[in-house]
Amino acid sequence: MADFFLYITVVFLIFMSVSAICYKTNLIKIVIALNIAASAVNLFFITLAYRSDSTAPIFTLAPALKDLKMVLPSPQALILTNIVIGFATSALMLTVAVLTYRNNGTLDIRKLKGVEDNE
Amino acid sequence: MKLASFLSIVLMTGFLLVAVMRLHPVGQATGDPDVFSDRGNVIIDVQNVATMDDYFLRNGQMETGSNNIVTSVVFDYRAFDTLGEAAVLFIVVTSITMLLYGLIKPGETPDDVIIAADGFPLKISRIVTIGALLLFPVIAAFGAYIIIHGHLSPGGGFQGGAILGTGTALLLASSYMTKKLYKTYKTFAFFESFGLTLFIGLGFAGVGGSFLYNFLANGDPLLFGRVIEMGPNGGFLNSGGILPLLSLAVGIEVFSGISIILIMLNKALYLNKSQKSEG
Repeated sequence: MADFFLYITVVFLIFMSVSAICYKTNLIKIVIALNIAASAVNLFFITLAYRSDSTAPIFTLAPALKDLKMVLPSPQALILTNIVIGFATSALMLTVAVLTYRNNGTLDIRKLKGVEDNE
Repeated sequence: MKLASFLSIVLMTGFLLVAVMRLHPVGQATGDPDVFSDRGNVIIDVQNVATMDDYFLRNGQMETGSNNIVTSVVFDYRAFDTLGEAAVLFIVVTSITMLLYGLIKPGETPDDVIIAADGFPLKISRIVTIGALLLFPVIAAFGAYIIIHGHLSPGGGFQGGAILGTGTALLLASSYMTKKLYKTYKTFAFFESFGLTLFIGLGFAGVGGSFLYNFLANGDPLLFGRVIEMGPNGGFLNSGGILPLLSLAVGIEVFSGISIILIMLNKALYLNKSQKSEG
């Protein structure tokens, strides 16, 4: 069980995130829940790539070559992509939340009824 | 209805649990852990590696001249993917500007950033303002270091650009430079386009091999082409081929993009506060 603890953490984070998306009514909290899901995916990748007793995949001042073990590099590159895309999408979602609050005066998704065209 | 949705979430979690229990245990990633043990020197080989990651670990340093294998994956092996990523950031900045620009009148100054006669903002404590001004050069130097050493140590264009973006956030929070930052918005917009254009231009420069081909690696030492030996070393700044240049381009783009996003959201914040009484 101890070998799978990090995987279970990932599943727990995704469970919490999906629950928050389903049951929270504040738009900002939904954005935070989506960020938690993105972090859970990042943790999943880093866990898949982990090798025990190994260093980061960087040769600068690394141990000697014969007893050198490194973690897998390409999942980390994917996480780099995911972090930037997550940042960009959450910034866009927060912008939409700002506009929603400005047009409707509320962030509660039960009270949103669309924007009246007053021009 | 609520019960049904809860049951479906629990069902999904159960499926995920069953799925992760069938993966390999933590700490035993796929591939050969002793990938360097059978040799002391360099050979480009495909036969003797089990997975893609082993290939990157064995040959990445030799092929791209970069000590940091993650950077060599991001900016060399998967550089086209990185171009898409930079384009996503560019498009997001464009759409945020598009969504918020109509709301903000160009010459408008928010009430909260009024500057007193001695040059400091009225509503924020001077300790905060001066602390931010002292911290900003340190943050800028650290971000530049992270960008420039992307091929030698942990870091790269995205991370360094994000660190520089936190410097902009600090200046906005201290509200000392806010008015000036509102005016430099167009400079940031220029440099964002410049970063992406530099990235694409470097991609086209190597088009004799392929798009985004690392044509500078293992060539002229003056042009980031120093040939490095396989294995641990102290790190040489003039290695890596076009990786440092791509890193610099991405760093400029990410810094400008994050700054534009922060400035736009900051303006929208003040706008909501001062215009609430109208609607």
